[in-house]
Amino acid sequence: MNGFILIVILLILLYGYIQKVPLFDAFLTGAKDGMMAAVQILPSLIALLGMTALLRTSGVLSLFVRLLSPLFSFVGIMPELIPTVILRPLSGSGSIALLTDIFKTYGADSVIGKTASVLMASTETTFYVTSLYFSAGGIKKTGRIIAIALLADVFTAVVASFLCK
Amino acid sequence: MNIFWFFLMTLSSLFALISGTTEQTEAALFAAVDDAVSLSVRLLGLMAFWSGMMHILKESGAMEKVSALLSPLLKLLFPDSYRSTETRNAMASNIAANLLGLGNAATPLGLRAMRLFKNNSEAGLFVLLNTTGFCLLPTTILSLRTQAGAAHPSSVIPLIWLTSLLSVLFAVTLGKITGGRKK
Repeated sequence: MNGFILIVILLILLYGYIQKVPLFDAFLTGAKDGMMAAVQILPSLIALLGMTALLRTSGVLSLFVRLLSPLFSFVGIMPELIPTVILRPLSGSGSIALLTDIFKTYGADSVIGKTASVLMASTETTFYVTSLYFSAGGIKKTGRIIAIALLADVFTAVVASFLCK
Repeated sequence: MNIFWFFLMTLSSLFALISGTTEQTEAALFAAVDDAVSLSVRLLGLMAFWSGMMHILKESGAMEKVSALLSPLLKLLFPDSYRSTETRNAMASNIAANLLGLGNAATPLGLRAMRLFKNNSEAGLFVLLNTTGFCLLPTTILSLRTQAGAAHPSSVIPLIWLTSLLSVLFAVTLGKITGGRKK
């Protein structure tokens, strides 16, 4: 995948040029949005990185991991990923916080770091998305779809663990 | 999230008090709070850059191109809702925006589709497509990996594609099987 990112950038720019997009202006508009997004996640990063630190140093995390690891290793998910698997459907910025924590502890290129990256990118904030979409559609019977969505999240974690090994 | 945060914060604090690790725990808490700020500052540049690139893509009309390509797939998955042009367009643009990683554009389009659905079982299937999320260029993960000093931040992308594909297939198949044929 060497040069992949440069190729993507090149393609976006060339395509935009052909379509006569004012490239620099469009970039600035988007960059402003991205900047706001990075600033907007700060409060929840503070809340959740703080929580992660508390969980880890107090020993609660290792207790959880010890309790849950038989269940998770049964389906092939590494015990280090248990917090990510649990938090991912609940909070987007929370799982970003956990991912940076994993990168710091195990390294971005470690098996755990890679698996967590794949897991994060291939899933969504399931509870947030389902509640938002169902309330927009005025749909009351949501249990079946939420159950499938959560099952798919676990399935994704299993696939990611398997592929990154 | 409120209960979740409250529960884990209080539980850890109590645990630290009981096990006598208060000093390390307090130090770790405030170090993490500091880390959060520097992380968001370091991410700012990367996220702004990718968001700028993605905006160029959006302005180039890539979303419309991708939506057109999605038409056969939509006909297969949503035979009922496909008949309404308005619903079809909202669904196609939402999926195209998700594929291209234009999160800001995807949500309003998806919510519009949800309001237009007449068929609840197809609406459920559409929600599943949004919770399993398929993205060609996951820029947030890419930024985080770059920032964490990965040797090849993009090396996980093929794995992400494969995993996402399998996960979408899994969810859609289950959704179809359990959804029944009734309107």
